[in-house]
Amino acid sequence: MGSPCELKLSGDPALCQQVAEDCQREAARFETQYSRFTTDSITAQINAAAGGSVVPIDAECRAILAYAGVCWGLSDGLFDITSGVLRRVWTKGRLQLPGPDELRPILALIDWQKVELSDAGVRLGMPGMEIDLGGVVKEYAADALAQRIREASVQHAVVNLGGDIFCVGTNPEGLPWRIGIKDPDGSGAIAQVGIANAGLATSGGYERYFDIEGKRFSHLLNPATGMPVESLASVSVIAEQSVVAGSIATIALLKGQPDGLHWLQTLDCNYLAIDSDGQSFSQPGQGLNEGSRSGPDRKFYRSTQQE
Amino acid sequence: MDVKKPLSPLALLSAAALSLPAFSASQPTERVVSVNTSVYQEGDAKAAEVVFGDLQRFRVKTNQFNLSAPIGRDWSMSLGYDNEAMSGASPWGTVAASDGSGDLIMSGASIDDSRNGVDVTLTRHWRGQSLGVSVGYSGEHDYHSRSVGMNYEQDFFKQNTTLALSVSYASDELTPTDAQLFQRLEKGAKQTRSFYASVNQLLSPVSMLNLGFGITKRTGELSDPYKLRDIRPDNRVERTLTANYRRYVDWQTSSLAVNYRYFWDSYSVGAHTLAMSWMLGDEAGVQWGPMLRYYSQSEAAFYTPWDRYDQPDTMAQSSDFRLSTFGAVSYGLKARYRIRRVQVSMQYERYDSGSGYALSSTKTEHPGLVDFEVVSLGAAYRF
Repeated sequence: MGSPCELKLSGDPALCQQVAEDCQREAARFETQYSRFTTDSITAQINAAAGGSVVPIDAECRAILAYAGVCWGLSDGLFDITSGVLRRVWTKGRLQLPGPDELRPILALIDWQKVELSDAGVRLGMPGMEIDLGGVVKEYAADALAQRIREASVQHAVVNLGGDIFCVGTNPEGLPWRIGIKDPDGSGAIAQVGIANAGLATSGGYERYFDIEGKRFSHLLNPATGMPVESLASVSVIAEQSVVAGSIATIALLKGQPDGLHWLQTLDCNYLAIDSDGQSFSQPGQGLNEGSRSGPDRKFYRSTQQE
Repeated sequence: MDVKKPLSPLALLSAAALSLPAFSASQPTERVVSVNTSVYQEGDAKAAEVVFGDLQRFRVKTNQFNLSAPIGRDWSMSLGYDNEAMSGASPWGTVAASDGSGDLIMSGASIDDSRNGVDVTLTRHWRGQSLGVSVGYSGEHDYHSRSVGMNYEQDFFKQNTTLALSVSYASDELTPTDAQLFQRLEKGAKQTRSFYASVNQLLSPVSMLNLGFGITKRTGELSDPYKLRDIRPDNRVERTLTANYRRYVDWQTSSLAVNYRYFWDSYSVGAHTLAMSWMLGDEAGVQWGPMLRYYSQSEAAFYTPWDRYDQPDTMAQSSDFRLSTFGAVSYGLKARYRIRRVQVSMQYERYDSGSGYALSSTKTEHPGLVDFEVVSLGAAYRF
């Protein structure tokens, strides 16, 4: 998955071992099926056929694409899985900001509406277009593994796929699993949250960035302008599915500051947002900094925020 | 930037996420074997209201076995077997009592019968669709039933909506015992044709509404051959409207179900059923909850409180308590325990009926109205 993954299972050792192996196989399947780095993945096949023929896809890939379409609609086009082509401009070690002439041909390739999803499969409408499902698949994989764990009747587990987390049940003591949220400015945790039966995803511009002309730019790029988004430093969201938590966190970041924060405030979800000054914000009344047990979902939150 | 849809992007995303395969395994992916055993016991008839026969009413012991399994990628099958052992007495007829009510003529306790049934369903699954074909047979010494059915399901709107259609046909053959001795019908046949359509709508990630309509047409020998005087029209059309609502109040730990059903038929029987059940506890561990059901029906057009020998036998009449005006309240408790691949379940239900429970009033309560208890125990294994 391109980042450290962790699986914690509690219960009968033989069953846990069997489930862990099953989860590893499933995680590897997600990797080989959707990675944009390998040539035989479905993502690579779809990208290679851009502007050409329809590529047949299975039900899972179709559902993931359809879900990405919902994210696109909800974010007013900011969450666009075709925006990965901007990497051609925003290369590692770049020393200057790209100009309009450099961006224009790349921006022309970004358009979710040119992803033609039909009964036969999927086709990218323009040669050179690309999709990147990384922004959905990793979180969805956390949910899918959690579902396998539940189906195998393991009652206490944590799936952590590079920061996209799902907590199955409580910890073996019956208390919420304690999960640390990383500090955007340092190596420690800015908060500890307790989670049971829910997903947590964190999105931030802090781990990958560009240093250009003495200024630090987020790796989050606006698909309309092709330029980095001036945004919150990080957003963590807790939701019933990791994939939903991840989409909300990413959309909030892409909306920039202060729109992203306003948007989060309109949602009935639990979040922790940290702005570029290090100030933190969370949902009033059930936030991550209030040490409360939230609403009806039996998700628990407790914070040891260090401010 | 304006937020264009302040309504609930969270609910929309959650609903969209539910269409991802990990959250929507509509196709069976594992084999399930389940067994269930239950005892149904009717309360004794009241001695003061019985002029003849045994007071001990029906007792039915049921054992069920079911196996369902995927076959390859696109097919699944299920196989069911059930056995019922029945004993006890049932009402043969009703006579007018001196106080203006009716008294029962019961059968002797000699009724001792068993029924065996098998059914097989084969289903083909496509993306968002399934089509199943089933055949069934049920037999007891005086009754044989053969049935065929088809059911179709289709998902719409990212699996938030499911349409289900089913049709079935059953052909039954009756060969009542001691027909010559009691001048009963020696042989009869009846046919049942049913159609049912329902729409299931996911209202939010935690709530669901199901609306259904059904129509059943029965033709042939619909009178009860064991009753002394039971003459029913040989054509009965029944219609039902159902509405079921289910809500997870506390995700994974508590759910509430409310079901309503309206039934009306060409015999002019009309009935309302309102049921509620609550489940508490962890789906992966112990779950339990109470259930409560209310039922009220109005009598058939040809219902008579007691058998009318003064009426010609070409004129419809029946003193069957199931066609009288009455109501019932049932309540119970169910519990499930899941450990690894095994789920054990238990259920208890008590049913009390009486004319006083009915929404419409009636002058005479049928003495044959039953109260009963059902206890069942089941286990399922997934592999």
